[in-house]
Amino acid sequence: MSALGKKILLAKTGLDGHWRGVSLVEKRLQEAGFLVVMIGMATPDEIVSAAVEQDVDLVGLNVGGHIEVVHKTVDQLNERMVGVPVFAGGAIAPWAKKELEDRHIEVYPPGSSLEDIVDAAFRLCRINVKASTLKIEAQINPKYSADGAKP
Amino acid sequence: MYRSKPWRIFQLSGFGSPEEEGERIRFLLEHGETGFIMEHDRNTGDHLYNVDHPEVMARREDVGLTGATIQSVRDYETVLKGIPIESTYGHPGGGVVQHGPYALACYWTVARRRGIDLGKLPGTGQSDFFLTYLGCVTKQQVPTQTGLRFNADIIEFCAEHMPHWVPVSIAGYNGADTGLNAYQELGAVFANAVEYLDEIQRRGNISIVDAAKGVGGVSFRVGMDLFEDVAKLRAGRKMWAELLAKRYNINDDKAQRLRIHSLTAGSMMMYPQPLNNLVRGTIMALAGVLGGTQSLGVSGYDEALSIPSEHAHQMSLRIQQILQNETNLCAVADPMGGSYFIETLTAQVEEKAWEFFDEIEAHGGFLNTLDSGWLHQVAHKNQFEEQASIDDGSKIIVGLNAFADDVTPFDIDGFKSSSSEWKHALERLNRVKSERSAKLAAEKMRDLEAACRTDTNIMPAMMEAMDAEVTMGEIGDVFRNVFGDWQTPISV
Repeated sequence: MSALGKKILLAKTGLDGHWRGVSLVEKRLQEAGFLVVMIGMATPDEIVSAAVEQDVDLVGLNVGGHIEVVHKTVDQLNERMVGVPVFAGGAIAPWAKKELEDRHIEVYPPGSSLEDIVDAAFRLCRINVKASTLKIEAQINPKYSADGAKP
Repeated sequence: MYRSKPWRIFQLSGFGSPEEEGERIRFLLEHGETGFIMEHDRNTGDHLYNVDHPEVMARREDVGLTGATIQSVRDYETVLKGIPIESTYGHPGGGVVQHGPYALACYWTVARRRGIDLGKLPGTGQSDFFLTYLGCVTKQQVPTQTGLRFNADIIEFCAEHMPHWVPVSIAGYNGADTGLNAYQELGAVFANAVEYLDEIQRRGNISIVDAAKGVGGVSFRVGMDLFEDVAKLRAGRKMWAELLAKRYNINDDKAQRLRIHSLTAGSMMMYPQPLNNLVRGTIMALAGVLGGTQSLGVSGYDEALSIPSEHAHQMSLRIQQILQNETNLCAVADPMGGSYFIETLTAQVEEKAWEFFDEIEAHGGFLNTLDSGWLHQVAHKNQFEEQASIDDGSKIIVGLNAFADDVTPFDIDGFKSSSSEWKHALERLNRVKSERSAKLAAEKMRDLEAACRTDTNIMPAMMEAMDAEVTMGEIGDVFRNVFGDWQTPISV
């Protein structure tokens, strides 16, 4: 288990391969001490099944498309995993951001600070810590070894 | 240079249905765009899935959001209706490597059906490795070696039949907006170019000079570091000419002339106070122009919110038109040449770019650095450091981490496109399948598969398949069946 004992599922709802934002979030959440289960591009069914199987404390959705898919995912999640919080990021237009916030999904659009996102993760997982009090060093994604060979 | 011919105003555009995409392209052309770039729905296009693929059906509301759903040559005909492609410089899409042969074959088939001589058709393909294997990694994709073969096929086909067509375009832009810095972008672009040239030389079907003419169309990112980006474009031209002379003994003027498309950095368009992005777009465009770009796209001011609204698109044109017509920027070629600062910076960028080129070669070449994840690692490290400098306030971004007060008197809400395109796309797909000759389509798919399994150029078989109305997803099935999937070095 991770240093914090909390697990976060990250997924991309669309098949649009813009990875920049979600990989930054993944790395930073790991460094903050969360166990991050990154399942990449996944359908609503796959996201909900993974969340249930992994018994996660928080679900993060990277949205690269219409938010109907997010609604569908959250509806299914609410049926099978009552109370699990969800936050979302990606190119989510202001009208769509408002719609998601109305159903208590926190939204982090492009340019959001990673510190704010980590703070949201602490808060949503009910951990009483602030990201600004942690010393997080930028480091290379541990998925890759020093010479770039595949793990 | 610009005195006789200003740069091409060349914007990426499209969404929703083929009709909607055609309408937006015609809108831009009517408002002064001088070439057009078709955007495809990424859920279907990047993956070569039809809309009835289970992965697409599970997210049907997303279909059409980022580009039109274009599943057959008929859809291409709909988009291009009323556009004189014989005299308009076109980019049919196909940014992603496996999508390239399909997009080109469809567009060329439309031209043929209209009776246009392919030898006179103007335009460009893309089939970009940076987009496909680094920046926007897809769920399923042909392996890099197959991509190399596809691109060599396209380059050879164009060398033989299409002298006015740029067969592929190496888009350093996609590397840079994924995190590569200026010299890394340059070094990686040329490391990519030598993979193409070495492969074509090995195949021995066309002359290396013709190959170089086909490979010398690239795209670079222009960002907010104005001087560095001007230096980058200047260094790029010099490096290309030197690379051809030294490595391949090519001294042909035309081949040594690097043709540059510049695109303003999407990642530098900010979500808060989106009108600020008009200023950013202007400054980034200026870097491209001072660097001597041949064509230019300016991101929409609503880039961080959504795909461009009609107004945002219009403003991307207006920025370029103001620069072309009101500023006297077109009066002289290379206006920054001779400045001590720019000359020093150009020399430094070039030196470091060659070092990075050598580093890629030392890691087994460009394709190997994509397969191993080494290049992803370099880009991610830069992204992380850049984000950290914004988060800690050492780098100021106006409206984002400073000067956040906003009195914009109206809402800019982002473009909202329809989410019901999936149903229409399915109807169109079923119509094509029921109306075409099933026998002929099956025969052409078999021919394509046979070409794929040998070293025959796939483009003639691709065009025959398109003319027989084989659909995009069926092409994807052939590719997946023959070539399998790329083993991604990052989790997708």
